[in-house]
Amino acid sequence: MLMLHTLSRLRLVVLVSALLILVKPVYPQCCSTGSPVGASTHVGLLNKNAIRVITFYRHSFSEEYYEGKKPSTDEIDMSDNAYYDFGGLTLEYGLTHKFTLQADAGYFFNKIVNFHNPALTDHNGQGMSNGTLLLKYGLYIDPVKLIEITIGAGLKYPFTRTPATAPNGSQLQLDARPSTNAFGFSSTLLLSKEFAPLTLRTFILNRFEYNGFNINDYQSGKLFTTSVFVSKKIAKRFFGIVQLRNEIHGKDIQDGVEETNTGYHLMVVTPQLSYSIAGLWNVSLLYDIPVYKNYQGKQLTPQYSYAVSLSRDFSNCSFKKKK
Amino acid sequence: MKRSLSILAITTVFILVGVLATVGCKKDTASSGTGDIEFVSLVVEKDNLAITELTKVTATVKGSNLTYNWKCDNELGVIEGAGAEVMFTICHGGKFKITCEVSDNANHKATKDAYVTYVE
Repeated sequence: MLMLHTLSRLRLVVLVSALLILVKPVYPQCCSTGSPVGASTHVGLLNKNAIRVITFYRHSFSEEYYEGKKPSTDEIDMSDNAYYDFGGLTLEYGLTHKFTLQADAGYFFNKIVNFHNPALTDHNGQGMSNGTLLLKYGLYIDPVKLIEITIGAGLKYPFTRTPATAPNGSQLQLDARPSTNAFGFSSTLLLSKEFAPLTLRTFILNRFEYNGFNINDYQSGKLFTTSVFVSKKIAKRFFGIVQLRNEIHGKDIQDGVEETNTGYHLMVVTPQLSYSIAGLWNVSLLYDIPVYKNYQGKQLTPQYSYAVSLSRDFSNCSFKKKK
Repeated sequence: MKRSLSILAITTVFILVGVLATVGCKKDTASSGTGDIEFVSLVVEKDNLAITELTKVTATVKGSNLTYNWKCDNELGVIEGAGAEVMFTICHGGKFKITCEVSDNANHKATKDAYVTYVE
């Protein structure tokens, strides 16, 4: 029984940690840090009637322009740098043992494009990012071999279709906007295998995102992400996780024409440390390190990103204890 | 009982998120025309520029208590300033349309477009 409880806790910590790594904004396009957040990539399922609440903060900074696989050598830069601070919230509910419903939303405290030309006022977008409603289904679950295959699909939606504006009333440049202001959908596929005696878990998460057009006929490119995780208990209540994430972003489209400076292939290594408090709460820290960049045209690229997360699961047991 | 209330609360949260998604979506309807406003001209100072270069765009409009609303047909365009004269730039090449919509207190409106070409 104790063993099962420990395994369950381990699984929870790893899943939550995985979410923290994955719920992050898409990387920059063209002149600045780019698209808004869809915090909807939680992996795995919840038990029936269980609830999971996750909140997190993320900071991201971009400074270096790339052309193809190399840093740009010309000196005509639109921006000196770009950065954002983001807070996210995820709520999950176990409808049955096979189905879990997930809702995500987030808020950009700022999303700044620091223009190179001093004559230009920096653009700072604030506000809600896109939200996501996702339904996940346990395609194959083997509790003995500790194997799980889960698929998910859902809707991405904007909280407003009207693009955010600058203080002068004109629309913010795309890269400073907190939302795509467009509907879309996303799908996920999780393959997980746990090695209990080694307190080790590996899993692969694939995610596909499709964005529709906003009211100005602009469409953010399709995004396909593959993440490979290895998680290991490194001390009492501490878990170390390493992720290798591969992102392929298609070109954006404006009025039916592909934008030149959009589309990329990015690989990121993310070390992470998680700590479980009193067996109920989980705190995680992570740091993104880009290791491969291949950007079409010329684009500002990510330098680093870090995040901190706090999460809590409420199971049936939790409710009974309160009575 | 307590558990039922909890389930009800959760279901409500998910429904609220869905409702917000629907209710929060407003689509702008662009309108143009003239009333007591006469849009005389919309002039781009330089219409052939290198990327990231700034150009002045000036609107000449007859009317009173005017409000100017500027827009570019490309989402990466940047408009600096406000009023009858603004600056424009963009980070990639192409031909771009800059639109100025002017309105007054009586909600009369007038719109004009100007074009600018950027080369990489």
